[in-house]
Amino acid sequence: MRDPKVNEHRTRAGSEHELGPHLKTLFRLGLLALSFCVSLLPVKADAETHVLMIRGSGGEPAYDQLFSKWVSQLSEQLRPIADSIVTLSPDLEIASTRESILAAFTKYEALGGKDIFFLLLIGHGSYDQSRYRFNIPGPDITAGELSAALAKIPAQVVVVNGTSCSGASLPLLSGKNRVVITATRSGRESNPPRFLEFLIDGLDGRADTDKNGSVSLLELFQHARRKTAQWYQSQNRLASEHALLDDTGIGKGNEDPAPGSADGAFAASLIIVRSESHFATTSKELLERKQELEAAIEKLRFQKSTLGEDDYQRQLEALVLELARINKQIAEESPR
Amino acid sequence: MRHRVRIISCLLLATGCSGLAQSLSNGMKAWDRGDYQTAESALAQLSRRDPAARLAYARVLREIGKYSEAEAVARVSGNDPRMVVELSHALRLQGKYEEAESVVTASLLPTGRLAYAELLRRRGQIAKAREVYQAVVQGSHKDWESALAAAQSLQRLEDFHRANSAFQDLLDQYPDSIEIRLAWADLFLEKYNAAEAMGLYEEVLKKNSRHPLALVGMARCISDSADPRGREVLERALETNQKFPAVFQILARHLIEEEQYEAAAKELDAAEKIDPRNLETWSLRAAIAYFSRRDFKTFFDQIASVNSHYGEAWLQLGELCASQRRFEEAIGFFNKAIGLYPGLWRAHAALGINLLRLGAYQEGKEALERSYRGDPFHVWTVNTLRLLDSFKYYQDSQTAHFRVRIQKKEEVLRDLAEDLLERSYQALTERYHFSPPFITNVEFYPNHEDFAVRTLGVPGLGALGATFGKVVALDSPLARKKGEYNWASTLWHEVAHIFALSLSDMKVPRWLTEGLSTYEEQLARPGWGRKMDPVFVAAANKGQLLPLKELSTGFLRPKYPEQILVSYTHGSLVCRYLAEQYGWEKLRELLRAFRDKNEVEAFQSIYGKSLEQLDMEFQAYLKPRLAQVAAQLDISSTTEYMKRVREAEGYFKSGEWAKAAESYRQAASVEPEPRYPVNVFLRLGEAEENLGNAEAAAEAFLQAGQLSETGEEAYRRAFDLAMKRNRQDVAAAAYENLVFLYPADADLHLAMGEAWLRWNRPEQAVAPLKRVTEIPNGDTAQAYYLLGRAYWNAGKLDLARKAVLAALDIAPAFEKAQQLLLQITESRK
Repeated sequence: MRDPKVNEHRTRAGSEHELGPHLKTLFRLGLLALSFCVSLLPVKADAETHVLMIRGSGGEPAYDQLFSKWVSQLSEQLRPIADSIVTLSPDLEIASTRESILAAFTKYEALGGKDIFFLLLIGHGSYDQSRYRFNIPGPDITAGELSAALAKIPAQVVVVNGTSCSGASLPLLSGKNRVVITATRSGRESNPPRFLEFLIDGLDGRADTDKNGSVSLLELFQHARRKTAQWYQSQNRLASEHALLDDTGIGKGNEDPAPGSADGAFAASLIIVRSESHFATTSKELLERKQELEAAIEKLRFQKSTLGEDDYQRQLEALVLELARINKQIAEESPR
Repeated sequence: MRHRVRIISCLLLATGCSGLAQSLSNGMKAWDRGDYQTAESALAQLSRRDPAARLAYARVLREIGKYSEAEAVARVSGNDPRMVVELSHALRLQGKYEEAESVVTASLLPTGRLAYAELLRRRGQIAKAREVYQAVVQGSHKDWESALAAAQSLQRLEDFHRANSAFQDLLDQYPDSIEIRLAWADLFLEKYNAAEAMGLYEEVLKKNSRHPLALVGMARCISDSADPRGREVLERALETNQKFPAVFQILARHLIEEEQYEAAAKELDAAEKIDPRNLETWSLRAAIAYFSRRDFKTFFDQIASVNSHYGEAWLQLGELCASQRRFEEAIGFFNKAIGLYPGLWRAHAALGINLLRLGAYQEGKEALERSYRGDPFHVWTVNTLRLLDSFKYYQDSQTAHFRVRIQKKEEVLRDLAEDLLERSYQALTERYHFSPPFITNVEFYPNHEDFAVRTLGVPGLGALGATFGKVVALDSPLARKKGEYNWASTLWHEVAHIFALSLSDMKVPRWLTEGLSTYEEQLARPGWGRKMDPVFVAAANKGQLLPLKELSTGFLRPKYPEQILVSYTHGSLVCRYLAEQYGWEKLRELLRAFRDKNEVEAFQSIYGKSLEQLDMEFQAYLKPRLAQVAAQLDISSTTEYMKRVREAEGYFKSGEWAKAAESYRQAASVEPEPRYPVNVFLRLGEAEENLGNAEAAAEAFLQAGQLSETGEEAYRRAFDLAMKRNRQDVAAAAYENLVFLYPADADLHLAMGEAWLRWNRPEQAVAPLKRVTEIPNGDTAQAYYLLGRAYWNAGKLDLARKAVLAALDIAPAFEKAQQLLLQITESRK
């Protein structure tokens, strides 16, 4: 493995089938809100994914070490899906100064509308009651400056700001065709957050709550949010961070987004991790029947409160059993 | 008080007596700053010539406890209305109540009417007293003393908000007044606001650090806590006023709470010398007689002959019974208090709280609601009613011997707690040859402050659990930081209390029940229960271990911060000694003996020895054991153990793992509990791990965990290594102990469940997997799927189908679960 600290520009090599034996990591835009339907969408060969990871100043050795570890882990986890990963860090050749950050943004101005630009901010942030600043060597960079730089990138954008006070950056970073995730809900939450640690934890597939073999950005966010809350509970401490997600562009984050709520639909359609089995191709007939069954199950689940428990269980069992048989057939018919 | 000085001085200046005025001013200033000697001497001289000085002189004498002298000065003044009131006060303080009343009966001054009403109140003439208070309120208030009397009357009429405003207005008007501050503080104290009261007393003490009333007020503010400052301020009050009955009464009450009845009686002797007819003193006499199993009714008859509505005496006895966990008796006394005076709202509150302690939730709540209607200021009532409202978020379940109340979000605790409760019940029933004849209510509180309210009525309690006889309340695991609290050992400790309390009819001394419970913990599992540690060794070396007959005070009124913890260890060691030396049977008999004998008699009858003799024997038993632990704490010790530990530490630091492991093993072979200066097994585990001996490391980590109640790190490492090396026994033991520290760890249960499946032990996999499904935000779909597999492997097809369907209900696209359901369905055809 290459040293993830080194700034790297890398083009994707090989197809998804060449990835690891168990889980493959992808980053693709799906068109349907229902994640189990998304898994059937063909991969679009013309869309690209580019990651810009910026590590700020640690301030003290313990944080420098922690932030570098997170950068390393994220590089490793995102490597398979990214057409390129650029890392700016105080300890690298291209340090994360204001000038180099703004210069790095300009390289993504040529991306297409279907491409994905993924911006990760790792480090400390601060808030002076009016402006959010990302703490970097030299003069800090403000949310307004980051927003202006993002505005020139025509791709779909995902911003994960894992810094303290990051909630204050959300209104400025928010925009159309963007998912913005912040580790805190406001500029007042100024303790170093642990959110990124649990976000990374979910990238190995653990965040796959609905067990469809894929992890959407929404699932990943929810996983990290839950784990963060559990950590504070286990320490018997009041939580000093509450992550937000905004994917509607209104500049207001949501602590518990879901496809049915104001936020979450766009994030649910972005698949971050997908297991290999989902790449199998199969007959159109079987796929259509599968989709019908999945839709029927979803409909049944919405009717649960109106049905008796036994009736619901019986209907669910019948539908799931048929789905199981279809999936078995698909697996048998799929090329190995 | 400066305003009073100014008024008097002006009068004197107006009459041309400038020298006299100066002397009076000096005397008053000396009084204000607490220089009583100077004040007394200056005012004594002036009092012969000036009535104002005479009044001040009488008041100074009263303040420093020279009541008969004050009486004499007041009598000289003939019919001066203010001196008449002063005379009444001086007489009252000497217990000459009839005369005190007769001299102010006709007083027209508001202060005189107030004094009269107070004397009527003492005699239980409540209605008549209220009329007089009312008249004081409605009368004219030309000076500050009249206005103050009106404010105090409002307080007596239970018009607390108006009284509060009146005190506030008065202090705004006379910002230097000591009297207004003291009266206002009394209102706050009556309404349970010790913080505000204390603030006012502190303001007084800043002006006059020796003011006896302020000092006693401070003591009242802190008398409910185990704060040693209480005693200190009382002693300071006595330095100024040696005839302050309240000082002796407060001290007596503390001593009764500590079960030191003889010493308490001596304090009351002192109080009676000053005022032989004090109702409060008689109430405390009654309590001493009651706890000493002597005739106590005589005292109540005596009280009734003066005041047939004096419910406070029964209330006090009830409170003292409750402090000794004798809740049923306490309830009877609270009812008597209410019967005598239905408006005694504190008695309603105490009744409600103690009914709740016996698990009578509905009756308890009703009593608290009555209390709240009459006295909405009672903090304990308000807090407890709020807690009762929160019970809607809890769920109850019942086992053979317990009713278990757990908050719904902590459902994962239920089967673990129920199982442990029944196991502890069975083990303790066998040991004590006794089964408590009732169902015990066990309440787990995920918020420590709720537990504190349930126990003390207010937040801020340091304990983890409490037993009231038929109710156990304790912190749930969520109330504490992960890994720092062993809920299971706490629960075992509390269940042991139920046995000791029931067997002794709730009369076991505090130190003995705590000692037994800690000893029972130690017997239940390795690592449980407090043992000799550096804190205990240091206390023993400093001679801070209390004699047996005073050991209960180490729990009730600790004199240094660690004394409670030291006392737990101390008590458990005494119990261990008694069990080892005289046999367990005797301890059982001892508990029964408390039913009709006091502590001294019970020990004498069972062991044929006094507490002092047993204490001496115990000291001899303790000495070598203490030395053994002390040697572990002394790095330079020449014991074989310490030599090996020093050697091992050297090897460890230089990375010579094999040699280090060998030396640690040798150290552990000569010391059964090698806890100091390092946890030897933890080090051994690390050395073995570095050597690549994962199994040996896992075993060592498990042993390391068992050296304390909270060995989370050691158990975690044992668990992880045992998982890798498929050591089922070590993994299961480590898992159980980790669950005792924090059952809400979904990842831990999932890992254990998966492991049991991997080891083809599906029956064992069920419990941990079910626990995952009970934890909010756990990986429920995966847990149900694995649960389905466990049932499937165990041949329980119906349960397997239900579990898999539950997984698919959460995650319909879960292909593994789909395929398992298919398998189950096809196998049933």
